Amino acid sequence: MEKILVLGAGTGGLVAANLLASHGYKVTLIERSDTHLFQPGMLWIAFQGHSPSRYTRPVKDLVRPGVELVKGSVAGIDLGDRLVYLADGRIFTYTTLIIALGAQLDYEAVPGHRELVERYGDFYSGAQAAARMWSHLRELVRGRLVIAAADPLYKCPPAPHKAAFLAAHTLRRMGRLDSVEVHLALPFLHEYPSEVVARIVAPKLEEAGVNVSTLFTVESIDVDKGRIYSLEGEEIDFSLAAVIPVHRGPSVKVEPGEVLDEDGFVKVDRYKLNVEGYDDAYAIGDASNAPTSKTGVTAHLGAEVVVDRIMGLDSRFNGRTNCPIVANGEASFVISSYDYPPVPVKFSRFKRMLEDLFIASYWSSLKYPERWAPIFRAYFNATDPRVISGGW
Amino acid sequence: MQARDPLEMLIEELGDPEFQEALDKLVALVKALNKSGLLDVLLAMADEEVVSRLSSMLMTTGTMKLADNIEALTRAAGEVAQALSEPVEPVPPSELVYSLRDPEVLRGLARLLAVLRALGRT
Repeated sequence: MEKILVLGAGTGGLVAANLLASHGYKVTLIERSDTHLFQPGMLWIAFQGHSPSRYTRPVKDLVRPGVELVKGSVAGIDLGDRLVYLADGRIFTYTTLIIALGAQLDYEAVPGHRELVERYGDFYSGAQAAARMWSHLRELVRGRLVIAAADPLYKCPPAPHKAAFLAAHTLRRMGRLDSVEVHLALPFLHEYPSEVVARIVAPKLEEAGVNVSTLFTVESIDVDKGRIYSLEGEEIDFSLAAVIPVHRGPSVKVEPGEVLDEDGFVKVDRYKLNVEGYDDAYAIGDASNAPTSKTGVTAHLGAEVVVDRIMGLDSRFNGRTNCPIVANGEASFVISSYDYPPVPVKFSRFKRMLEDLFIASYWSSLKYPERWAPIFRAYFNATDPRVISGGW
Repeated sequence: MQARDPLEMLIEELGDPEFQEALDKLVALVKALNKSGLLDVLLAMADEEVVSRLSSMLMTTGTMKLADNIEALTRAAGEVAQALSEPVEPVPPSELVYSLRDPEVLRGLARLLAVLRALGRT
């Protein structure tokens, strides 16, 4: 009897579990939290004051019949003996394992970072931290808001840009953009890792009144002085700051340890998404080392590929991304795949509306992924980086 | 906090006049849709294969680009429509070359060439 175990009820884990259930499989889904957070929502909570309840749902409401939801924290995985250990001592066996535990955020890697996030919040560590950021932003009358990153590898590459756009928009509406500077400090050579995207984003940032520093990787933070120091030897003063933390693989002991890379991400075959050396274990989404962006879209598409493969189909993940960059009333997408670097995608109101539709369909697409699959497939085919290489 | 009985919550909801009003409207809408036959069409459409075919027909590279540029297209169409409604005098061939000194005409020509190039790509 097949026993499929899915670890983690984030985007990838929920899509995989619900999709398998829709095909009649019995699935056990292990999740430590009662609540699922739509992670991009943290940007809207932190910088536009949206209510956290808009972006959270109880996990139990997001699983289909056929999925057994187990509340528990995964402590260890033994791939050789096909065992999963929970922190409370329970042990689960499996015939097929899907690791969808996400990335863990390391607030200890940068001195002063823990203190910064505890005081001001941020837009990465949860809805509460995002609400804390908002409570400080709304009080910020003059000074400088700094959005920065401690490492070039983090979830949702355009997140700091979106943060800056949304914050600038809010401050403009409050009539404070003259007295509060929005400063985006990025650990890249250009305004975005891809120069093609940087050329499209840079003028929009300027238009929005956002100042940008490049080649600024946060090395330490002095919260009392209000100063951030960079690895490259620069420093910048702030009145309020949000620094994207260092990301690492899931905090789970995995046997054998060789399947993890030096940052703790699970090494996978980038196309088949099975854990290197194992054909009965997969890793999807942020937890894997697949060389693509860490985003909800890649987790969702990865889950579809893994479910196809469990069903005996030869589906392959192509590393497709579709990261939205939201500016005032407009949006662009970072569209790329393993074989195609990001294509030039200009900002438009239509793309902003598409992003609204994606957000509106989010909860439904987690629970009923098979209903949305043909619609998403049509969109991804129509906007395949190969066919829109000249731009969209 | 003790979890509330769902049945109890439903009974409480039913007593809310706003819920009643909303429900009345919903029932009226469903009845109207049913009477017109639209409900049958919607039910038949809610089929994976129909949705798949419809999505792949409506969402193509062409329609995505068209929708993305709909503002530029309607703006141009609006200008053209307005120009069509204004009276014009025939331009004799000898004066045609003078028209080409007009920067708007030159920009229009550049646009026409760009359109020709785009047509050549298809």
